Amino acid sequence: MSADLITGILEALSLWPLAAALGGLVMGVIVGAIPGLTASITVAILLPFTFFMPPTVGIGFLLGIYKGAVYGGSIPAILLNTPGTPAAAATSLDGYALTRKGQARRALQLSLYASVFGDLFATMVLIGVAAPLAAVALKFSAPEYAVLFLASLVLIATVSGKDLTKGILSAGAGALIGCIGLDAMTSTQRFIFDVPELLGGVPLVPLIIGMFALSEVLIQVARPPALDLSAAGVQTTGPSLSRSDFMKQIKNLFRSTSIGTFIGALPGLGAEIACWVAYGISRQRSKTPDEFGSGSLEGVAAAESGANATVPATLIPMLIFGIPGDVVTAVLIGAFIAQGITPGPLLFSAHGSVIYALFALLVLTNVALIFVGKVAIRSFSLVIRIPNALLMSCILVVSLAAAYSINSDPYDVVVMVMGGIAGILMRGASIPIPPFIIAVLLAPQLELTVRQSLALSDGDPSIFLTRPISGSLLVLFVAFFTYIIWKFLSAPKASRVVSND
Amino acid sequence: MAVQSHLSGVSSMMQSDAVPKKIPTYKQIDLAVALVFAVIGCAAMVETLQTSADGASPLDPRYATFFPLLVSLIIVLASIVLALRALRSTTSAGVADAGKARYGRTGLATAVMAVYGAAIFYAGFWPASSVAIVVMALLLTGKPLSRSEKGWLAIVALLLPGLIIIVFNVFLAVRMPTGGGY
Repeated sequence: MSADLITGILEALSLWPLAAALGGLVMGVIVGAIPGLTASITVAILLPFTFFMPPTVGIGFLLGIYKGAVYGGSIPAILLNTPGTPAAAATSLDGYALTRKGQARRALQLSLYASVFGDLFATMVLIGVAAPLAAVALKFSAPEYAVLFLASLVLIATVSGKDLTKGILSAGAGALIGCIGLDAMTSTQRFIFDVPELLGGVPLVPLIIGMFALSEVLIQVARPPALDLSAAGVQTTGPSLSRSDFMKQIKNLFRSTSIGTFIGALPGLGAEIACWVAYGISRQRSKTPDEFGSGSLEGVAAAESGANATVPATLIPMLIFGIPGDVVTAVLIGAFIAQGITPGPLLFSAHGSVIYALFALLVLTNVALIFVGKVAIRSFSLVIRIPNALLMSCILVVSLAAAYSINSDPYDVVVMVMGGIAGILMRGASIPIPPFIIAVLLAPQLELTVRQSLALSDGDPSIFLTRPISGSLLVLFVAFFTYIIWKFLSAPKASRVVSND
Repeated sequence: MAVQSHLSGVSSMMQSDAVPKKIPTYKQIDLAVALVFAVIGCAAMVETLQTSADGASPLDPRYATFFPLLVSLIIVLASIVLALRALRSTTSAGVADAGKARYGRTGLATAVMAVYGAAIFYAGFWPASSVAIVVMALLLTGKPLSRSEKGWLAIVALLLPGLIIIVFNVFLAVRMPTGGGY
């Protein structure tokens, strides 16, 4: 382990991995600061470019984008009341109020420091728990994995959207898409419809590019941004954040970061939910809850640290169990597999030096975010001058090229276009897309592990209960599922009838 | 005079989007979603049962038919719940900003995207991409472009596809389509 650790740190400190991670960080901050562009879109369309790079360079680049984009969204949220990414939505409440009070600089500085704090704390948790958890996960076999995949899938379907029924429909449709192709155990053909290309299943990356990038372009055609950002006045002036201002937030930062880390480690939730939960709990615990919404530094610190803490935390289930924490980590799994590295408990023994190099890059980019963030705040007025129409047209072309380049196959382009059409229809009908994507990835693994377990037990389903780890996980899962159903049934009827109201 | 005044009033109303558009309500959308998913679920069930081979019970979880059947059943049940919920809803509210949305233009953009996806194989990646960038940018702005915007658009439309080809060819050894079919 120590040899892997030292090799990994030395690898992270070499020129190309460091340059790629920093380049990704800068790109991520820029992308996050442009409303409409998110980490998932950028990571998906740039994934094929990383195939020719060594693992630490390619994956380090994508991790830099992910990290930068979640922070970058806070800059327009504070300055223009327009969150760059959904993860910055809670930041805009108090951030923009502070800007209107002439305290934009304080809000921007606190948001940057809170992001770095949250990210660093969660990175330390990741480094601390990943190897021990992987050692525990080595004891898992098919029944344990089956219960874990089932629990993740149910969690993603029920919690990640606003509407339980639509979440289940989305995950169900994703699971069906995941069934397309040859069955992994008996090679039975499923949903092939005499189309030979479908034998290999539906490729995930072109599907994600279509559902996120293309549908975003189409959405912007229907609903152009309400605010012309290039004409918006940007003022980053005002008093600076004092040391005492920051120190007053320490307790709040620890609490919000812990919330973000916990939520990030659960599959399917991510920064969009963590920022609101951290904000809400911070308000409940605050001595001055009335200030929330009208320019509270506590609100900015809670939302930003909570959202950014999810970034390293989503890597915990992905690296240890191969379960994506959100859409970005679903794409990252593709990046790992393309590099010949399969996420799972054997990761540390088989590719320890690569994983430690990536951990070191996460810490280094965290330190770098302080400087990159400061430059980004000063240069924000330049970023928003990029004409939106031109940017979106370029995304269309790059998306198509990226989808084609994966296998040099027109079938991938067809999947991408179909994904774009499905994405816009799903968004129009308020059906959450993340459960769909994650189910495409997880459902085949769930099916495989369930069938392997039943093969082990000669068809006896009690195997899931009689083994201590899978039994405990199953009890926990049933308790959680019962709670979700109880909450749904006990909710006021009006909120269940049409949730979109 | 009165007619002219009336017509100009109608014209200005249309220009300002003041004429209410017929927009779908949440109830209608949820019903449509439920119908689509119910059809998908039923079709998947039928297809799965047809592929069930070797006399194996499709309900035995050890076989390849069980999981798709279970998922299809969940989809159908969830569709029924959604449909019932929508039918019991008394709201007639429409989609919040549907009045401002330009759905016709989105349909056109979707068609452009699909045609572009096919055109790169027939016309080649570079020309098809250049045209797609221009058309999509015009659809996205929806207003006359300024001189500098036209200049940037022309530069990007001409150079970006070439840059992509170079990057992909050099680093990924991917040869982008040059035309003439698949």
